[in-house]
Amino acid sequence: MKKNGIKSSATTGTTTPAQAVPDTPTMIGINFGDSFASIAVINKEGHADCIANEDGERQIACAVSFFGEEVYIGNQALPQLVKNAQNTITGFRNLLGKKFAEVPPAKKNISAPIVDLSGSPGYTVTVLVPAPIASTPLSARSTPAPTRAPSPPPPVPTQKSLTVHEVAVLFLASLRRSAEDFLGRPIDGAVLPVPSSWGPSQKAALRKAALEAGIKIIQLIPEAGAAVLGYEGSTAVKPHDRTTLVLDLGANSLTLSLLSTKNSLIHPLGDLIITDLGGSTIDAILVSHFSKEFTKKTKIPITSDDTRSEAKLRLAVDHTKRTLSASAGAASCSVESLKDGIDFSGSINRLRFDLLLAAFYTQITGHISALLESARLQKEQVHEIMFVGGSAGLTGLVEKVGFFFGESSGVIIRDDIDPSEALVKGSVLQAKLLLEISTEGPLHAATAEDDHSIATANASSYPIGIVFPGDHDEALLSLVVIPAETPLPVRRTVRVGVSKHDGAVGFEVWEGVEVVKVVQSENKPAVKGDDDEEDEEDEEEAKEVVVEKKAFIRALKLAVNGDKLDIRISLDVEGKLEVEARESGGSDWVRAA
Amino acid sequence: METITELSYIAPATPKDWTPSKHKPVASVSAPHSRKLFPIGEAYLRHARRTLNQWTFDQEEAYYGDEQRRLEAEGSGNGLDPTDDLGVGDEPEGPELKLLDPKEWKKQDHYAVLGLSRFRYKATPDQIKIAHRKKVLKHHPDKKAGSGDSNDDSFFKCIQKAMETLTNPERRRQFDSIDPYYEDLQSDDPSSATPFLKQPPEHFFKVFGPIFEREAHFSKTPEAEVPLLGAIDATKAEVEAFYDFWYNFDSWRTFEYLDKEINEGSDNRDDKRYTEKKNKSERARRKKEDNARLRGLVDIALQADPRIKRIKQEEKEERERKKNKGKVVNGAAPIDKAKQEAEEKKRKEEEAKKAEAEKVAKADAKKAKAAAANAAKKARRAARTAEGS
Repeated sequence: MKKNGIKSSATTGTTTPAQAVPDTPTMIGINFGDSFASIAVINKEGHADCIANEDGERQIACAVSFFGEEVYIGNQALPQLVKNAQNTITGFRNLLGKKFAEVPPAKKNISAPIVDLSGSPGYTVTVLVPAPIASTPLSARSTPAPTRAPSPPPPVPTQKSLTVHEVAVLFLASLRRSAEDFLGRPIDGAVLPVPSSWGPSQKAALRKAALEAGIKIIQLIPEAGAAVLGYEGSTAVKPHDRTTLVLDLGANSLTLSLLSTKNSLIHPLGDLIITDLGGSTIDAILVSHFSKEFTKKTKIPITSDDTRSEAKLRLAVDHTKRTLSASAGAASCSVESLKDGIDFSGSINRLRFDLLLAAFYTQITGHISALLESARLQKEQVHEIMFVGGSAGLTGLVEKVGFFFGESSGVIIRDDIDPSEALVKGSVLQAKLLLEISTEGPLHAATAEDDHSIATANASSYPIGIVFPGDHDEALLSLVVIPAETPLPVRRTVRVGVSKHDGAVGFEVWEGVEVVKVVQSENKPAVKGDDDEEDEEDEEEAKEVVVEKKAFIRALKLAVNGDKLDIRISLDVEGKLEVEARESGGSDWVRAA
Repeated sequence: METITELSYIAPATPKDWTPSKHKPVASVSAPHSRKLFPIGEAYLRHARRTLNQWTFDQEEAYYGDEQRRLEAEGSGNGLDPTDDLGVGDEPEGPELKLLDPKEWKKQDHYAVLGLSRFRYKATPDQIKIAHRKKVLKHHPDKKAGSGDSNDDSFFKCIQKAMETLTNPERRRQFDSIDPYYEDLQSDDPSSATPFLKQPPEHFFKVFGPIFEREAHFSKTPEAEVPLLGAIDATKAEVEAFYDFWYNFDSWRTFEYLDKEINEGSDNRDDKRYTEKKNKSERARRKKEDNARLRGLVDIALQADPRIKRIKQEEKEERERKKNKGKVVNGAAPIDKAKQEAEEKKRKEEEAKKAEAEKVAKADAKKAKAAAANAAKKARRAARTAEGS
């Protein structure tokens, strides 16, 4: 790692290794999304921090624009979509590592069209290059006046072809520069989240582009996992079992992932990627809303082929959307000279906005139901929802999804950090963790290599728990010790209290099955409220997850004098079960035969 | 250690006639299925480590237990414990501290203000930081807002001034140079060797030991290498090294702290230059005075040092022994005594002479100084007359 740091500083020509070079390598997290990218570092306190680039942007638009001799990268390239759309490249990340034939037929896209560059996708842009010097003496000879041109000849427009790979290198290099400017020292490595749908060729292409841009990728991690790390912050091992739904609403896609976290080990239970739903859908809804309003006010129609007006509105509604996410009041949208030289200024409040988006939200909850169905889970079995992505900060969305899961279900909604920063923060936390292990050896390989064999593990199929004789409900397990979907091997020890007894305690170990039951709440408050509407809504049945007995495995009876009992259940990799128990504080475990 | 999850569950009492054979146990639990773990987080690292090393759970626990202990040991070695205040403690604040005027900050004892009078120049930057934080928590104007005298933030300003001075290494050095606490101690230093000659030798060490310890921190050589007074049984080499060092003492003490404030607001360049010049000469004078003071102290110590007497005595005996080696044993004693007396007399004379010489030298120096001053005066007068004519 150290060696690499020195090497990279030599190649980039950074000449500040003398000032306080830290012993530990510098690792960053980069979220290189299809529409926006962000960079995170570990700050002085050891927490993850999303940093702003030199333009002050934390969310850096993945756009590269060529205008004359200039190249604009990031958010500066976005306004170019209005005047110079043909030379502005957006949405190139998802094309990395793909053949031209694999590229889906372009949707309506105002930026530079994707062209076939000998099999791989690319772009052709018009740039101005300085006129070749070789041609000047020729022209000097042919022109009668021998006066030397006081200024260099005007640059000539040329067609320039760029592959997706070259664009990605250009963009990633600008991210690296931003990070290095912020930190004041060269970057030794980075962790990047990638969509779970990416294959080896795409990952390899990303690694190659990053390396060319001067970024050594230490690990590519799944986006959903990065989100969990970003929200959890600390990565300490907690026996905290939960099923999490990660809702990643990006600019152009919606990714739903169901994750199981057992013993802090995370594995996916299923995911669903919808590519035509995202922030751009919201933009389109807002654009059509405002263009209708404009037409109503000015009697000037904005037709669908009026790309320039649309691009202008699109840029403006982005701001409107952000304002709506941030504050409760109305947000304005104003565009100078929207069409025919007439300015537009309108506003929208949150209620109206949520009404406009109602269908959009319903679509999302529909996809959530579909995913749960395919994973054979009920919504009551989901413990936690994490909102991720630039468009997931909308309060309407959070409310709607929370309502979908039921307000009383106790599902935890995680939007406590900026959803657009969750991925990148998780990435840098993973990078920080990787600093603790050596940079080679099998342990490193287990993280650095994609699809390492260690990452494939057996997981238990059904929950395993304890039944105490004489418990109130005969059909249910008293306690679940090892839940379903727990990666093996596992060993868990629980300590329970024992009520008065005659010197011996017996218990049975059962395999169970999770069942969602309707709970008839007998003491329902029969309050006659003023508004009947609310009462009707409240009549939704309360559901609860219980674990029913499935198969009896072991039983154990042991002498206990105190009032505490330790029970240890372990499952090895093959699923072989072992049950032990002892009185708390004792040293000898009694094994169940 | 094994993690045990404490549950609030209380198991009901097992019925007496309970037998676990009611059901037929299945051979094994349902077969597990393969899952793909996300290779992220600490838990995955643990999983990978355990799998790679083929550890059992007990081995894994032992490994992490050792690791934890190692980290804890390292942590305590670095003093990383945030609750540790590095022995700063809570010093009682006397009423005189509360009366300090922030405008007169140059006169305040910065260590006392921060509650570090026990450490003084020995306080580490970390201790200063902690002490400052403690004081700020107690005396910040915001904290006092409720207690009525919200406008009285003068002590807080004093704290800030003290912090400012003590965290800047150069300014701290300047303040340490004139630390009022040590200035006070200095005034109690003995001014002559005579009282010691009548006292038992222990008294000498009791008085001079702390004095040299105190002066040692002004040394440019690292404090650990400065030879201290030592004990009565020090060897000749040690004693010599001690006086040798202290006669050639190289002090870092500076007196910029006592400079008169240069009136920055004034546009008068001459004014500024005059003050600057005065400050410079004042600093030089103080430095010279301080060096003379220390030299005087060493002189007194040398005169009063019972070890010098002892060493001389020993040397003499040694010489006697050498001389008497060939002589008969019985006649040795009286001669020895007579010789000793003569020796003593001689030594005293020598000492007196030396003192005289020193006095003369001092007088000479004084004269020379006076002469130089006179010459300068004359020169100035001459210059003035030259200017006048």
